[in-house]
Amino acid sequence: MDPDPNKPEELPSNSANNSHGSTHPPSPFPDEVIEKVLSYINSHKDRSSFSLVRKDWYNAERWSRSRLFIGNCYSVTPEIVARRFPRIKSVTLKGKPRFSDFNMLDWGANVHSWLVMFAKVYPFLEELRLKRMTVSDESLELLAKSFPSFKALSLSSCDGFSDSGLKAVASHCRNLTELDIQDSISEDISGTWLSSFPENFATLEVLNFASLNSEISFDALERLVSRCKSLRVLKVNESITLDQLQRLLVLAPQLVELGTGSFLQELTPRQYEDIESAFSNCTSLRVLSGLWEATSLYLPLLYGACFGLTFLNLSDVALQSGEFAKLPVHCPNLRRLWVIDTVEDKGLEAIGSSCPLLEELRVFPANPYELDPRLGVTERGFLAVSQGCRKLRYVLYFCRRMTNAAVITIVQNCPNFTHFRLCIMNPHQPDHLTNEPMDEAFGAVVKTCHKLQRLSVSGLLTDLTFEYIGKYAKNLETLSVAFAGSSDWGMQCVLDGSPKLRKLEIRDCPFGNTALLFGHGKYEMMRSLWMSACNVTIKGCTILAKEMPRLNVEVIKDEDSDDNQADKVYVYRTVAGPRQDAPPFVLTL
Amino acid sequence: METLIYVNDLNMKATELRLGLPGTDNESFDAPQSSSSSSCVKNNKRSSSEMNAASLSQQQQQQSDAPAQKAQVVGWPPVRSYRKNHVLINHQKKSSSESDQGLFVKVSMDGAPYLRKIDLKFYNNYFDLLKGLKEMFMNKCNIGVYSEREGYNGSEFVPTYEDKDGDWMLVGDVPWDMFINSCKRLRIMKGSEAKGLELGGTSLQL
Repeated sequence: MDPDPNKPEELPSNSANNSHGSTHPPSPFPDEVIEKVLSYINSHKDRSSFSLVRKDWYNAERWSRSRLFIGNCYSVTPEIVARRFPRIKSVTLKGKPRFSDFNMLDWGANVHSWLVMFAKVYPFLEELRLKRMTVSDESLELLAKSFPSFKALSLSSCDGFSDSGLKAVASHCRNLTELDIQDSISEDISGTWLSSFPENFATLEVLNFASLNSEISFDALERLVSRCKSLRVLKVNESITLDQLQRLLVLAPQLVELGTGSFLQELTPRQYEDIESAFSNCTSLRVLSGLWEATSLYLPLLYGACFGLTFLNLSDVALQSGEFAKLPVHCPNLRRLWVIDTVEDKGLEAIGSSCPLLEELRVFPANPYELDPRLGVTERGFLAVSQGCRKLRYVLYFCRRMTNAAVITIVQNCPNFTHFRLCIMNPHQPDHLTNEPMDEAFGAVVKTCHKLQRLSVSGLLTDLTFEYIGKYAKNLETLSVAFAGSSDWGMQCVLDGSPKLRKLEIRDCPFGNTALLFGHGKYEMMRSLWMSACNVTIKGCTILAKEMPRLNVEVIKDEDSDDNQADKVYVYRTVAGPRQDAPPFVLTL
Repeated sequence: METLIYVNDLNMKATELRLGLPGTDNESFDAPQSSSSSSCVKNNKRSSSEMNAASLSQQQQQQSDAPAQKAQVVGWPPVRSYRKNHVLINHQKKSSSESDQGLFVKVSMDGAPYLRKIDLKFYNNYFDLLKGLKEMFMNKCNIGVYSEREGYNGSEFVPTYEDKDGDWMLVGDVPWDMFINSCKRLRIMKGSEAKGLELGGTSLQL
């Protein structure tokens, strides 16, 4: 069980006005030793465990902690954090639940109140990493002006900002080394923010604006890249053309990670050669992404840089199997590969034959609504990869058909899976050869892969799958379930077993109040539970909320649903009490 | 405490192969369509999880060309909207350009009374194309030898083409595959008109 790092009241020897020495035995170690030991402990989980031992260790720990990790921004308040930790330099904050419906405007998870507190209490803040949070321009402006030593800003899957916020960061953060915007879509981005970096600004090491759609000034980018000699990560957006990319590569051959712009452009033979040699000169390149609209005609431009690649992200370009199949042989050192399912089983077979060091594979669907099972990838491709890549430990696989037998063989080939996310896209789909449920497939996964931390199940599944999970998945931390199970018993098995479970997300399953309430003791040991389109009612949620005051039970109702139906339920532990900023459609029970 | 009253029914329904929400009746088949309108889909609003409820954006409904598709379920499969919209569009762009019908383009020759049409996919390279053109115009067009530096300097006729951007280009400068993908029409110009344009010529503009 992971103790919540932000729950000071769990301290065993907690009598707040206790004077030193009177009721405590003296510390077994002098302060210098404790501080020295603490300097080696970086994981926030370990630090939390450390702080639970004795009050003086708790104090030593809280004064020396410089990195803050908050997995659910509503589990604690900025005030509580500021009181406990006086010296924070780096903050990681995560907001919205992964499984939720984002057509809702302003669900919450706005970073502003946190920034206001940080501006007061942590003037030396250097890093801010946000995931699934709303970040307004006002917040970015506050950030830019409040922290003179600010170095690194990372926004992953965030929203709410536009050009003026980014402009503020670019103009005012004189020591910025990292501006990393991933998968964040913004409206009203005009692209002029990039021109706002001062002419003498040269400290940037990481620049990622691949997901921002607008045109930027290439001139400004070129000048920025030529000034920043320590630049090691550059991920541009689609507006950058191939010949522009060539000019950037010539200025920054030291790049370790590159995200290209559009990879489709009519080139003269001379331009083609120039680009080819620019890529060959990037001898430190390990990570490559972007490649929008690349075809077999242009992929050979990359060959000179492929040998050293460890991560190739082709998830933005739908390559056909013939086009793709020639590529893996040039990338023998690949550890991570993301592709689109247009590469088909044949493409995956090429991976199996050429990339023996592969540890992570993600296959995304080109057309998630396509029903034809002959399209995309099947169990054959997955099998082929498992046969050639025995070190595989992370897989995300979208397919339209799968068999129990294939999965059983796959995990026998690769028993070291830590993340197994299989998405058979048609809900309730059985084994396509035997027509049976896919219970045995996932049973094999949990029985064979002892290190499994994250599991996503799909296909036709009965309660048996969940019996297997509860019984065997002892290291499981995150479980995602959709269109599965037969009764409450399934969910109960999981809540009863799986001692390390932290996040449980469920949609469209026949689990109701009995199952929900069965887990009431468990939820305080988890970060959160999400249930949508199940059989839970408001009455059931109310009971849970009453029994467990340290949980927030939030219900979001759909427009035309039954009065008592709890369409979406989000349950999470917190020391902050019910949140103040919940929009009107969120009921906190 | 309220308990479920139809547990047994649920077992049947849960294993039934349908896309409706479990525990609801048949009206749920329509639910995805109605929920897409009631959920105020905003295409460009960030869905910061893989479970995207904007799965039925207008854009995708128009582009969806499989009339036999089942009713789509909101937010399923769990693919990020950012990824979904972008890749789907590009994928369809590509597949529509690689159609199996030939690549027919008009060919005009200066002085000829009417135009012809040829299938670019019929030829494998420039040599075959020029040979074909000559034969088609009954050897009346004398197209000389191509050189990168001087184009078709000295020939009576010069082959040019209009590309995707609307510019008139000299045939032969770019790799063959690139040429057939960007050529919209051909024009065999009289050498005298083309004189002066071949010097240093790559992209010519009329």
